[in-house]
Amino acid sequence: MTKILNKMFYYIKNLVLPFLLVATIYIVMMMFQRLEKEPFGANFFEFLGVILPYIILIILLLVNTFLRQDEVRNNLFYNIVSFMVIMTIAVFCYRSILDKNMLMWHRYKYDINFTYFTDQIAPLKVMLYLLSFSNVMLMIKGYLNDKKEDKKVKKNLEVSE
Amino acid sequence: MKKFIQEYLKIFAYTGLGLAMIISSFYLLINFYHSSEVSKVLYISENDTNYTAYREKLGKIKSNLSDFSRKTGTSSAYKTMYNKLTTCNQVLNTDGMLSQIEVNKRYNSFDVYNLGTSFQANALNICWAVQLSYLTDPELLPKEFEDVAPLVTSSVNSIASHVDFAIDELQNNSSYFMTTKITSSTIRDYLSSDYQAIASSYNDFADIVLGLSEMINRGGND
Repeated sequence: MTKILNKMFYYIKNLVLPFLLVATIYIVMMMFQRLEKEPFGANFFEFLGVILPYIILIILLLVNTFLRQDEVRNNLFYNIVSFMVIMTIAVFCYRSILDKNMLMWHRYKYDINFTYFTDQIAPLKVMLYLLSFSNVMLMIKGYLNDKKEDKKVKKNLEVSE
Repeated sequence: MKKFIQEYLKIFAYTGLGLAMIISSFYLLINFYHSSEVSKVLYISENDTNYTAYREKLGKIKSNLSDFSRKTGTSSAYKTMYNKLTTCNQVLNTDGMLSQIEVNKRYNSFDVYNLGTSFQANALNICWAVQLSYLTDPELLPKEFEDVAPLVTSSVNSIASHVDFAIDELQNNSSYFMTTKITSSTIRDYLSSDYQAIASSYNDFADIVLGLSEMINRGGND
């Protein structure tokens, strides 16, 4: 049961995260367009500030997948929290684009509620950075574990010889 | 040493995850609450007191103006006022105003917001600012209206500030912060009270126009 849950949360978060990145880029680009800012010019670092936590997390996800970081991949708590964070960000994006009951959605004429989304950028960044931080910590722990196990295996081999 | 470092790494990792979990839980819950608050709707029936009273007042204004138009030998000040009130009467009956809304229907915050902006655009900007604001100018003010002009001006100012406040409160539904006492007003559903404030402003404004129409009707004969 734990294994099934683990895999389910792991794959859902990996599948949904790129879509959220695209949705966030879309909202931020529209926001910059409205404010006449240049995301790839003078305001690049401001733009990068929102996108960077996603990029770091996606790189870490790729590392976990291809370098088989079992300490992270098989950690149910990490996968559940990641899933919750992804769902929270999905709610942010969904409400910014589709919740027409908030008046600013109508007033900006961009079909996006920028006031709401701007309020969510700070928690969004904090949650993604916390996930990345925990991921790195678990990776290092896993690396030290592997070294320990390697030594144990070596010792066992020497004793048996 | 390695075990010690591993233990600490574990503590840091789980602290980070715990914090992320707390923050995401808080934002998920507050979003569901906020979403349910802002999606509330208001049912306006044909018996709604604000709606019926406003329509009744518009009917009386129309009949007063009609009575005045049949009179002869009236002073030019009253005639000027009659022309201005006729425009006001048309403006108070335009689309988007309270008298023209579809009743027995559910209205959301955007509809009520539109009702408020429509009042500002028509009643305050056209009827008051363009037509009746000469009552505030001592040089243009006819002596027939000297007594009522200050009262009318202060009433309109008060009505304008009420509508402004209601519209601002409706706009606040687009964002929320931590639910402290100060900012909690931004997350609650104020649709009903804002509708009451806007609709009663319609009625108060119609009362002013009605009062002026009665005044020219009573004193119209020189």
